[in-house]
Amino acid sequence: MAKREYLKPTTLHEAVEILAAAPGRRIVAGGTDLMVYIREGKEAPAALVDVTAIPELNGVQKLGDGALAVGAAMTHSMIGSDPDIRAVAPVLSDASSSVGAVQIRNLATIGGNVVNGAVAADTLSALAVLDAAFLTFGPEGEKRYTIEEFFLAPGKTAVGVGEVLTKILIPAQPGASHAFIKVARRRAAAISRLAVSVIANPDGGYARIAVGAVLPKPGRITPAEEALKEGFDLAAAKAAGEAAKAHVLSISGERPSMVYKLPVVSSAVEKAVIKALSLREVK
Amino acid sequence: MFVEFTLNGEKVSAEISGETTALALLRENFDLIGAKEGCGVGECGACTILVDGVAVNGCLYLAGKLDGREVVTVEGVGGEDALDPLQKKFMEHGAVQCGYCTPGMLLSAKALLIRNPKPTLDEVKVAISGNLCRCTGYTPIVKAIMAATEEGK
Ligand SMILES: Cc1cc2nc3c(=O)[nH]c(=O)nc-3n(C[C@H](O)[C@H](O)[C@H](O)COP(=O)(O)OP(=O)(O)OC[C@H]3O[C@@H](n4cnc5c(N)ncnc54)[C@H](O)[C@@H]3O)c2cc1C
Ligand code: FES
Ligand code: FES
Repeated sequence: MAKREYLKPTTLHEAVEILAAAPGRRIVAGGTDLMVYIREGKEAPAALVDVTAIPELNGVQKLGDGALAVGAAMTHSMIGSDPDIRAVAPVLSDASSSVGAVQIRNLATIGGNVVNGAVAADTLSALAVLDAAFLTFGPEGEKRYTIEEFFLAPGKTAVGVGEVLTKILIPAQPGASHAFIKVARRRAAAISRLAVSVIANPDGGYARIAVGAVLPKPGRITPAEEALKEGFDLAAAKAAGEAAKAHVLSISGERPSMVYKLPVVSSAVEKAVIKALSLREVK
Repeated sequence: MFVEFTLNGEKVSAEISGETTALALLRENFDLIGAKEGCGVGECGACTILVDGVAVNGCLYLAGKLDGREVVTVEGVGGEDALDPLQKKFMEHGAVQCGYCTPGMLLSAKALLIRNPKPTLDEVKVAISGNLCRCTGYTPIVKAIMAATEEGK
């Protein structure tokens, strides 16, 4: 293997300069996706630019309106144990806690998870129901993307070459209860076969439901949300599951793997909805 | 790139290139062969090392990240003359057969006990869920770790 440079900028401006200074330079955070691609020969960056020492990418900030700004270089372990994230976005705490095994969670970052953009990436359905937004910094300065603008296709996001994802913005979710469910073959190493994220707020009259791993892009399933809003009860939970299944079928089509996946979609969505409803604080 | 870090309590330094993994560096430059390469892609845990007290996969961990950090390999745990309670219990419970997974298992257990000296059975299972063992069927390993926690009481 050719000698590859390892560069570790400590400011955002330095990172953007380094990335632009020569072709083929590539951002690395935890390296748990990128190192596997390099090993498999799918990627051969000229240099690795480690962004984990940049202050803006670290820590969680509480914003004035109860929203959070989560640093892109936070590991899944940090996210899983952060009390502010647990308070505002337990669906994300649980999604991050479900990634890989301990060793992976201690190294892998949320920024890497979203920029890598795999359809099975576990935080994506959670970020979809949270209505998260993404802040980047690049040659053209700071940019902000909604989740729809951010994910373009499987493995493809709007983050351009030389652009650094700095923060994930999570709006406050007052009065909502959250649930995350993951279905995988082996918990520790397997990528998700299905992930479901639900946020329900019967008093506010809204519900947000998203599934991961069975759709090409993370996104909410409006028909399932509408079905749940009919009553926020067990019957509505079942209807939401059925609506999610119909939606997945209409997008992904009758592929052989769907014989297994479709019934799992409806039951996992129903289960996640019931879980979210049962977690509501009783007044 | 030049990195300086603490390795099993001693200050060390090395010249590395961008793709060097911590696993390769430890094995090839420092002759520490306790951490092993099983799968090379984060799935088996044979390469587990502790960095600043937390378990990571040495096969994915870039050596460039080691600068300024504290690394512990199995060679830094206990030793023949002063076995760590975990090592003692692994021996007593027959938790070692071929031994390939053992350094990683010990370090995953060690990382758990540093943070949580009295874990539950479930917490033990979660802590070693990233470590594959093809020999023991896990039961002796889990028992050994639980026994080591009782030792500390
Ligand atoms: C054994 C194993 C098990 C796994 N299990 C799971 C699982 O259960 N669920 C799951 O979702 N994933 C899983 N993964 C995949 C992976 O660990 C996650 O996607 C992880 O979050 C990636 O983060 P990273 O920091 O390691 O990314 P890296 O590999 O460092 O980067 C990934 C990509 O993102 C880019 N990038 C990283 N950070 C930034 C940034 N701040 N700005 C711009 N670009 C950036 C990199 O250039 C690269 O293209 C697993 C991987 C392994 C090896
Ligand atoms: S060799 Fe690192 S996890 Fe298998
Ligand atoms: S003892 Fe052989 S792999 Fe665990």
